[in-house]
Amino acid sequence: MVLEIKDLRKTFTMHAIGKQLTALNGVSFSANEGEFIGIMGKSGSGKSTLLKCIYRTCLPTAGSIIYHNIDLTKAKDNEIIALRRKEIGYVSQFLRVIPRVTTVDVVAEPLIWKGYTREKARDEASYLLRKLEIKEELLNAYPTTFSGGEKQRVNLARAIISRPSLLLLDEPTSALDAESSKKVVEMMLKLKQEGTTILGTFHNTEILKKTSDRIFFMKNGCIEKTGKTHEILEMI
Amino acid sequence: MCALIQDSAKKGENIMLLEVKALTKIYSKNDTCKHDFEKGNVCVKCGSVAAVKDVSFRLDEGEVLSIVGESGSGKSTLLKILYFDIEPTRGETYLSSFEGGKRNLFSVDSKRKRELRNFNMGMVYQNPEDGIKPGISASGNVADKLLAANWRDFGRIKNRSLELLSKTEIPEQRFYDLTKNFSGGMKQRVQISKAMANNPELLLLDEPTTGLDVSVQARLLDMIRSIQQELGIATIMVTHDFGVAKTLADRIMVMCGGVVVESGLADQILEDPQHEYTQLLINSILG
Repeated sequence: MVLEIKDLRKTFTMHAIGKQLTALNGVSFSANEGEFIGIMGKSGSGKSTLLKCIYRTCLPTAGSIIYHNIDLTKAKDNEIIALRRKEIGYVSQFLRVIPRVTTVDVVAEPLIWKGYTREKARDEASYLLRKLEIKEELLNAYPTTFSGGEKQRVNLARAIISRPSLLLLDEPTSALDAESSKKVVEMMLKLKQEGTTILGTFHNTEILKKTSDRIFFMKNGCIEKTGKTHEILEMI
Repeated sequence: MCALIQDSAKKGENIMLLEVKALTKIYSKNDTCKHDFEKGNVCVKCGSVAAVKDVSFRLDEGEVLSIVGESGSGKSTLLKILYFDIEPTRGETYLSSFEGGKRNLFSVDSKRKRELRNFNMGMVYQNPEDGIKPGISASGNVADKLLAANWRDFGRIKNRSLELLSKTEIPEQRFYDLTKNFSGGMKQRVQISKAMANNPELLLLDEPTTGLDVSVQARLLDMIRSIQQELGIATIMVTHDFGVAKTLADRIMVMCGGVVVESGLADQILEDPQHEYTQLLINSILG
């Protein structure tokens, strides 16, 4: 088992207005190596918060997240940094552009953390970006000015280049056209085949049909329905 | 050392470089008073001020830590204590390369402190005039730090100075000009060259980009990041700007009234701040 989550809860406290907001209300599940789990649900149902809690962008209020025998809710910041650099990838809905860093360098960075030479890392990054159909002239440009779809693919390339063992995807295809979506789907299937466990939120049921083994349907911070992909898709 | 850092990063091990324990600086108005800082950082009995109060943290090799807080939160004082500019009232700091990490740096004599500064640390002050001498040239300023670190060979000193100034994008024709005739951004770049000169294992940056316009700021940050990554220097950067902090830092520590109110991964502090004060700071960021 790669990931086991037990009774995960998250409540945001907003001090200025003295209010609390519960985003996760007891989520439990486990995921195996090479499994693709699709997460669906209305906006505000807790999909993104679930992924962010696993990645430590949000601090869970209660519960446990066991990743390969490590409880991520208790791991030190430095351990999380090391895991993020080596094993856990995350693609958010928005690209965090690093000022004055070119597309290739953004994508190459995780390989440099792994000990690759800059040259080798840049070669691999260019190869991956070409496969994702990023135009040649954009490779050495700053991604600040890219379109939403281009940014999203750069973002994805950065997350998957070091072949993470766990990949968290938050609407990674929302800004992509059909053609690029197809490329992304191919790439996810390849990663899955190589053993990467993928957890992803999607609104597009076509993509889920092609990729996911199971689907969680979330409502009010809980997993309301769960089952094989076709079972869930027939239900909704 | 660089190879060592890469190896450790590969294995995902975190090797501690610096450990700070209960660092405190009190500007005392009454030495006989047993200060009571229960209600903040001003003593309720005598009015003494605790600029820094019981600050503890660790920094790993090659890591970038950002300290964020509004002016008066104690962040610059903390940095100056670490660079021995200010003597702490109490507290300890250990550097793993110094006497096996077993000797508190504040317990050594001033000669050893000077050596630590010259051989192990680099500092970039907010105000360039604090870090470089206006009356000498850019290359002279860098050479100054090298001389302090016992470099004696004139040729090597010259080469190293020129190498660093090129790395920080100082135009070649300005290498021998007096730094008092430089722009703010250029002075800051000379200061960075100087701070890096002795190949420090610890780099301290005090608001290195404050007061510079955004394009200069972006270039400077880009430069600091590439040099920092290339050499794997552990860095502590003080800033009041979360944008600057998140561009460079893995971790952020938030200070308020001389104490650390929270610390965490940079993206976690920005997206899910826990403390009331941090939430106020984050919600004050424009656009």
